[in-house]
Amino acid sequence: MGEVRHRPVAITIDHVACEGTGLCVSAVPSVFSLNDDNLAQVDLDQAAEVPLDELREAEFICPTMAITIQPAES
Amino acid sequence: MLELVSRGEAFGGIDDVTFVRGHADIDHVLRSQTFVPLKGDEPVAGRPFITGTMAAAAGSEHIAKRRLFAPLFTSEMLHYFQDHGSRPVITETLLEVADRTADGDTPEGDLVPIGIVLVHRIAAQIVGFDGVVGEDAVARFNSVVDRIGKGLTVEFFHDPEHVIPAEARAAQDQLREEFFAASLARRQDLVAAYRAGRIEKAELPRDIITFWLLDDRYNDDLDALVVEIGVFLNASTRTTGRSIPHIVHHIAQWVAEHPEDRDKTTSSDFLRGAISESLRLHAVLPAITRRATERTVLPSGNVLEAGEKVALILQAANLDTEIYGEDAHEFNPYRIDTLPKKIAPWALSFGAGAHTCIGRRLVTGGDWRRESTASDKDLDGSIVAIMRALYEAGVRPHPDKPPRFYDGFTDYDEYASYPVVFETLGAFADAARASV
Repeated sequence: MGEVRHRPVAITIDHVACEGTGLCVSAVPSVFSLNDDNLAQVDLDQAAEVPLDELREAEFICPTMAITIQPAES
Repeated sequence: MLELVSRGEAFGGIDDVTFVRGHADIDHVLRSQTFVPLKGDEPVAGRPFITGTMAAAAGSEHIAKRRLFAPLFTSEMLHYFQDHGSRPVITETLLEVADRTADGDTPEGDLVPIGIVLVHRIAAQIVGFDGVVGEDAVARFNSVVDRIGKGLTVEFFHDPEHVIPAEARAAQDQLREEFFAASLARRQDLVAAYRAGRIEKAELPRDIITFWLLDDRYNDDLDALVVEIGVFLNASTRTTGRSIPHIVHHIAQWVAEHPEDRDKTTSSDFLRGAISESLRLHAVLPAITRRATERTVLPSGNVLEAGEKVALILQAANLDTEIYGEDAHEFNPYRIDTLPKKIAPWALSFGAGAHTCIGRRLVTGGDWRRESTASDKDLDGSIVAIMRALYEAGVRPHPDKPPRFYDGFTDYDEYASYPVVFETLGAFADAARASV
């Protein structure tokens, strides 16, 4: 599991659970992509530009619950 | 040598389709965003039963539908169905078998209809049908789902005479009148009460009909909901229903050759390995069809042109020796221990990519890989619960009545009849009744 933190959100992608369906990529293509192993990865700079509710679409739609998105701690 | 790509092939109602057979190529197509579902477009005869549904949608429409149904498949819901859905339904069905058995006789039955009844009762809960109670209602429900299924899988029937679109349409009408209307009315009242503030959201049923009614984008289109339910019922019931006899058959052969595993047939680990292999060896769909929207070079080096119609032959990919080893054609419940993380133990039987079967976790449960640290790794899905209950009831292939395959009028790999005996059903039934 690799955790990355960034304001205004903390995004966790569980690479054990990720099955590379790419639904997060379809939901928020400016922020999520798949790496060479077909695992989800996040662009934190882009994530900072996207409203939290929109980001949470990726969390919500992931069929294996691999993505967690929370407001960053101050 | 496996022919990875062949052109000029045909399915019923789809001409000039390219067959793709390699695991890597199929996985690539399924994960690519430059292929869209062909279903819903071709075959034309199948359109009334699938066009516009989540299975046939692409892009933002597909995402919107996935989002609508996603709450049904959270870990919380899987726990709920494990405790309140699967097990009680399985117990009820097996008790019916026990009740039909005369004193002194060994309980027996046909695993094909028993499996169908089991999965239909579970699926009815998920859809939100209240009236599928009792053997007669379940039998009528099964008939309706089966006939709608012919319409939406018309391409896999060898002889179009076996598929009468009017028959499937009549079944759609029966579904609407007999099972949908009353369940819909009840949920419309509940949703209205919720919107008026008379009840809390937590008091609403959690099923497909209710989620549809809560979604302002779709809730006016109840015809579309009926079509969506027809697809969901077939996808959810046929996958598991077709697999149950295969699993029992393979386990019987395995324990005959490996008697040291005879006592493992109720353990999750053993069942997960056995179920995976059965799903891999008997793909639940003959093919998944797609249309290329761009010229694409596949991992094998073969090229698909823009506009090309593609059929992804799952059975071939599931037996790919490059992925599963030289013994890929054999059943080995311990293969699950040896596969790399990127390879699903059930192979491509639930698809891959954005159109991965939305109900897969409901069927299989959580992450099955042995070294998994995933939070849901101990969660068993409906198929594990079903198989465990069947083995607790002592299911065995019938010693005197051989199984029978369908006679070849479809591309499906399924039994028409699989007679079994239940050697310990009496003890199972006694324990179940005592726990009520």
